[in-house]
Amino acid sequence: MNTENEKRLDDLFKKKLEDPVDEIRYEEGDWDALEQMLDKPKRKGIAYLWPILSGVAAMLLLFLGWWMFAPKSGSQTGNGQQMVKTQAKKDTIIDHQAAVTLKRADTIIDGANTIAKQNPKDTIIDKAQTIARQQRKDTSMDRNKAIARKQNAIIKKGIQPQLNAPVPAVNKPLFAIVPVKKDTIIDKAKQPNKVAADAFAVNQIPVQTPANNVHHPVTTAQPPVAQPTPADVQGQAIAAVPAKTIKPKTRLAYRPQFTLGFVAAPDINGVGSFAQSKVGTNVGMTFAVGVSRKLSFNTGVIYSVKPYFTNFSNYNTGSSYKFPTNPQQVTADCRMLDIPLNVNYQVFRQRQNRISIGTGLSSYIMMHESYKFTYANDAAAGPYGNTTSAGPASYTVPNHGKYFFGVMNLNATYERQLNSKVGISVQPYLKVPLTNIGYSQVKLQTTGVAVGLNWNLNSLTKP
Amino acid sequence: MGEEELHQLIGGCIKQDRKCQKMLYKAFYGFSMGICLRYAGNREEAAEVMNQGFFKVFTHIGSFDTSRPFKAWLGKIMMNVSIDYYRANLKMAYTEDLDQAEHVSDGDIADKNLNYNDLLAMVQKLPHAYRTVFNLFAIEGYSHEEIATMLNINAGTSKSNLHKARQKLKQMILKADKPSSSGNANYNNGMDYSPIVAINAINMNGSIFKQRY
Repeated sequence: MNTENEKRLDDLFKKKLEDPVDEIRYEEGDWDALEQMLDKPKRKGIAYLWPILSGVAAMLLLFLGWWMFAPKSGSQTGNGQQMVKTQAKKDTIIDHQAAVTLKRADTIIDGANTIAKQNPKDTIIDKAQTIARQQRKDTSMDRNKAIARKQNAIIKKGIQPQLNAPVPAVNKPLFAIVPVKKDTIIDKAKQPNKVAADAFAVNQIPVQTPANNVHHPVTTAQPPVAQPTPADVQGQAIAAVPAKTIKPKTRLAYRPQFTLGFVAAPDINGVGSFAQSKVGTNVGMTFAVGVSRKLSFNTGVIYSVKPYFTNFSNYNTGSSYKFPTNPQQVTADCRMLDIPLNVNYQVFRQRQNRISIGTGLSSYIMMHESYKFTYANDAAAGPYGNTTSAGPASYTVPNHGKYFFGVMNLNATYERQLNSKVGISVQPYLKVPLTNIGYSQVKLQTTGVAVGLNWNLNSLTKP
Repeated sequence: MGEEELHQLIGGCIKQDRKCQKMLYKAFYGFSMGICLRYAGNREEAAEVMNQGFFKVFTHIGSFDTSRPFKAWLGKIMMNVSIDYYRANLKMAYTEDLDQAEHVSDGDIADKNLNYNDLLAMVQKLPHAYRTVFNLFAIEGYSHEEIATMLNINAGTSKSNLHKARQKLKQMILKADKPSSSGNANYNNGMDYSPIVAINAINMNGSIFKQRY
């Protein structure tokens, strides 16, 4: 068709269709429909709240994850104490190292620094107090505090009974007594003592406390829940079926929207809580079917590496095996296929941005499952059969367990459509165990954030 | 409708006066429906989109600058609502064999005596993507770059869709062997799909909506 003909065609339609007021008759039914819409502003108002509600849902999800992340004070106190006991040996070593460090520090400081020599513990105690304050929430820190308080009291009593200054001020007056070169000496004294103080602080904190884990966040990934994604805009991909196949409808039928996604997710796994958590990794593919403008179902296959660390009390082998001596902790390495089946509801949409919330169930198919056991006395741990061993050091489960719909998924998804075909998504999620998972029958829970790249399959059916 | 009367109606609508709203609705029904019909696949769809447009008008009429022409503002809203509807319904992407559309002879389209309903039915028969681009380019006068931005597509896609829309329209026009005495084209005879046109728009001359804006 040449340009002139194109213009003639355009003009023909423009002329006839541009303002055809006289051709259209008013329908009272249309006004009635509008009036109904106008009469329902309150319902609309709720709809406007969806973005806020969805935001709240996402925050709740994250909060829930963090809440579970925090140690449970009741049960963890006991564990903490137990751990301190079991770590007694290590503590001794650290104490020794600390002492050496202190000694070295003192040597460096020189004879001039009498105060620093007299009170090396002050600095240490300061540190311990600081750490104790910082980790107030950690129940195991009670011990720290107690020690710090005790030592503080001793200092108050023994070194400066004349000073009524409050505890935090104790150190300053003390250092103020230092004669010449005060600043330099203090600096020097503080510097070498830092190492000792750190060592001391470490010594005061039970190794392997939940708090430790928290402060060294691991990088885990979690089975991403598939993205529900009716693609937002796919400009060029729309075409209409020839008129012969169209049936008259009052509303146009929704054509299912298919989306393929690739997801990767670091996540945190824990048993019972996230107190003793480890970071896992998830990589997989998801497939979503949009069944209406807002509702979509998704599934997929996600290869999931879920390491976790737990007390032996959570480890249940049933009657299948009795340990000669019960281990203290169990470190598990589970690799599985996570097959989620989720339903997602879109709560907010603006241009290329969408927010949806979803829930569903996941099935785990175990691919690899091994456990390592840590015993109270390190010397006792060893391969089974060793004369000093109290039990097996590790166990690899030969059978691959299958746990169908054993985990509930909760997620909130933010998705941005980059173009008509491709979108990216970020999805904080929480996986709550409904059944016990694995050979050890643990309540393995997971929280993480899945990042996904989605491909709108409908775009392939370009007209 | 005089300018003063229109401003009174708008004033009433700002106060959410239902009578004023209905009067404004009736006064601009034909104009608004005319726009929505072009973008929609059928009358029901057009009415739904138009009502969404009027809903926006009535809920945002406070932001209307009375120094500017109301009709242009309303038309823009109707067009935007139609585009939003198109974008929201992209999933109903019907595929179509386009090979036929590629071989259209350059016959004369001017000798066909096609009326509004004929042409509207043709436009409505276009795939949604083609129809939207054709409307925006040929009737509204937007450039391909502007259309690309509005629809979030490439300018090339816009050009391609326009080309295909024209091909199909021409094909339909050439097929419409229309007797001049007939009120409707017979290009879709034999199809089990009733022409989507505003059915009641026949014999509309002398309509009560013969308003001047």
